[in-house]
Formats: sequence, C-alpha cells, structure tokens
Amino acid sequence: MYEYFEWVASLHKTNKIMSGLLVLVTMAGMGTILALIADIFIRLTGINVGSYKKEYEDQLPGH
Amino acid sequence: MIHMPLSGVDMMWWPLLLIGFTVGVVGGYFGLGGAWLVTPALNIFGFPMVYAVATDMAHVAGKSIVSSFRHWKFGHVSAAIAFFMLIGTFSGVEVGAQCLMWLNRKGLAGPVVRYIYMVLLFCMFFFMLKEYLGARKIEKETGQAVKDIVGNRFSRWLTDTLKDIPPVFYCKVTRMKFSLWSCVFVGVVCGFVAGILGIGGGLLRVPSLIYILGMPTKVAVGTDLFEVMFSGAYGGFTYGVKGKVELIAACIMLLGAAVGAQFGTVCTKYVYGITIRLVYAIACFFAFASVVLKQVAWFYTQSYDKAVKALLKADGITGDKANIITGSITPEGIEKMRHYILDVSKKPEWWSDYQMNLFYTNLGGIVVLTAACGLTAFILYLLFKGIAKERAEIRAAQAQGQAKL
Repeated sequence: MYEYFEWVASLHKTNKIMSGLLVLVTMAGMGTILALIADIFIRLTGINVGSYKKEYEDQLPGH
Repeated sequence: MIHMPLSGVDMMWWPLLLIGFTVGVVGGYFGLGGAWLVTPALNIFGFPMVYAVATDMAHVAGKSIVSSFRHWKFGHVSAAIAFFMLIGTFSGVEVGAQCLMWLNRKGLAGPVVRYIYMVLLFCMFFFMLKEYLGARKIEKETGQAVKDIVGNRFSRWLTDTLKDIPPVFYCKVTRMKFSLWSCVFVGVVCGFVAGILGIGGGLLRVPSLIYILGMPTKVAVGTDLFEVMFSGAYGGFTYGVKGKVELIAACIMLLGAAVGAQFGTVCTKYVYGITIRLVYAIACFFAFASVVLKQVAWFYTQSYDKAVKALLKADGITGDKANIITGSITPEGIEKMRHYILDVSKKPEWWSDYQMNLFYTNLGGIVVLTAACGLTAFILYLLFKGIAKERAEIRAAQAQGQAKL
C-alpha cells in the first residue's frame, strides 16, 4: 500500500498532470467508498438518518 | 512512524487520524474546518506549511463527499444553488488571487491579508453571537423558541429586486425562487475573499448563503459542503500537479474524517439552526485569536527573516526549502535556525526574537487545537443527547400505542 503513495509522489517528477489526477481520483474514490460504508454502518446502529421535519419549514414560503 | 515521501517529514499515524476525526465532526456540523484547523494542526506536528495547506485541500475533496452525502439524505443540499455559485467562485478566486499578487509585489501581502482575515473573523463572531443573544431575548419575551432565522431585510430586498431578471429558478429545498445572478454574485464575493486570503471559502460561504441569499442555516451548511466537493477537487488537483500533496497523510486524515463527519452531520438533525450559528460564532472567535497570535509572531520575524534567507540563499537554499527552514517548529528546523542566527550571524537579539516567534506560533496552534477538541466534544454531546431524546420519544409513543390497545 505504501508503495502506491511512493509511486504517486515519484510520478510528480515525470508527469505532473498524472500526479494531480491520481491525487484527485484517490481522494474522490476513497471519499465515495467511505460515504457508502459509513451510511451502512449508521443504519445498522438504528439511528434514523432519513428525511425529517425541519424546524425552519414554517418560515419558508408556501407553508 | 510514517515517512512522507515529498516533504521528508516523519510523523505518527494517530495524530493524522485524530485531526481528521476532529475536522470531520466540526466540518460536518457547520461546514468549517480546513484552513483554520487542519493547517495549524499539521504544522504543529512538523508539516511544513505549504505541504500542510496542499494536503488539507486534497483531504477536503474526499471529506466533503462524505459530509455532503449525509446532508443530501437529510434534505439540506441545494445542488442548483451550489452549481451557480461555483460559476462565480472560480472567477472571484482568480480576481482575488490577482489582487494578492499585486499586494505581494508591493510587499504588503502578509500584513494586509492577515488584517482583512482578522476583521472578517471578528465581525462574523460578533454578528452571529449578537444574533443568537437577540434570539434568546425574543424567546424570553414571547415564550416561543426561536429555532432558526430564515432571511433578513437585505436578503429579501435582493431576492425581490432580482427575482424577475432571468434566468430565475425555483429551489425545491428552500421553496424559494432565486435569480441565477444572486447565486453568481455570492460565488464571486466568496471566491474573491477566498482568493485574496488564501482560504477555502467555507468560512465566508456559509454566512453568505445565510445573510445574502437568506437560506436556512442547515441548508447553507449542506449546500456549502456540496460546493466544497468541487472546489476541493480543483484545489487537490492543482496542488497535486505542484507536487505538494502528501497523499498518505491525506488518506489517513480522510479515514478519521469519514467517521467524524457522520457524527457532525447527524448532529445537525438534532439541533436548531440557531445553535449551529452559536457554535459557528465560537469557532470564528478562536480562529480570530489564532490569527492575532500569528500576526504577533510575524512581528518578531521582521528582525531576522530577510538576513537569514540571504544566508540560506548563499548556501544554495531558496524558495520553498528556505521557507520550510525559517517557518519550521521541529527540533531539526530550530537547530538550523540556531546555527544561522547564533553561529553564523552572531546575533543573540535575533535569537530571542526567533524564540518569541516560536512561542506565539505554538500558542496559536494550541489555541486552535484546544478549541477544536472543545467544539468536537460539545457537538458529540449534542448528538448523543439528541439520539437519547429521540429514542425516549419512540419508546413513549410505542408504550402509548400499546396502552391504547
């Protein structure tokens, strides 16, 4: 795993654009996967994380 | 110990995880966290500032996906407003960055930027705290809870003035009509300030969405985090191209942030918007305090900074490498500075100025870290209190249902 990070760091010397793209793809990919995993875990805890009645709804137009 | 391949820093993994967790909680709760929390925290643990800024930007790109996903599920995100703001943000950032370059050429960048930052932070702290105390006063007088304040005179005037200037769109989340131009205007203003101050923009975007567009607090937080996904991605990419992102550090922080963000975002379900504003005001105050301490530290550098950089240049050390040495708070960096100040320049008065600089820099970092830990603890307390109350209500409703049967 550490070899991947070393390789991305060394890539900067030969291909800056690819280095930037890999940073972006790694962070975005990891963020997406973690968001989905976290969603599953939160639901398993029994916490209701769906839509709920917001306290500001009576101040919005059309209420 | 983890070795950072680009900056050469060796760091333990657990401070990165803890920083990520804290900024995940705080960021998920009110959309703040990057510039004022992560970069000083990383700097205290030995990261050179330029790598701290870049690594933070990259991790924000991932963290904001986690936070936005949860806020989206709660119905706190207006993607349309976020997209239109983004159009303004990119142009605003470019203009702000050009102004910063101009100030830099005049030699005014450092102090001017810090003074603007201080004034901005103090104004936001003062205004939001005044608003919160005003809401509490109204509660005492009327006996009715003030849960959030949606809109104000200026936002209503802006919406009414621009609502007939096409293109106009209807936002389902806030049930309001917005002119595209008002969203672009907010984006330009936030982008300009972000460009000139060198910050991520969340600090100003949330209040701008609340006070200029008149959005509810939670929708402002969710929409801000959604936009940060794109501006963070752009920042991560550009800093990645520049070779300043320590990807392994960003990934470890993201692991912590992914957990912390769940706590911070879920907590918004259990608190009122006005409470989010109070916590935001407190965060602005501590950010203001840390910038003041940084400014005091900067005053002490003026006696020796130019001379030491000239000596470093004579030894072939320039640019980022020179800034890393003069700005370092690690034992190795301090030893190098001791050599140039005492052994080479033979100036003990510079050495005492350098030590005062270190003292105020460290104090600023400690203030921010302590504030972040305190805010995290408070947010977690609100979260668990809210969950306990919800479960008690569910049990009571079930018991009532069974009694009726």
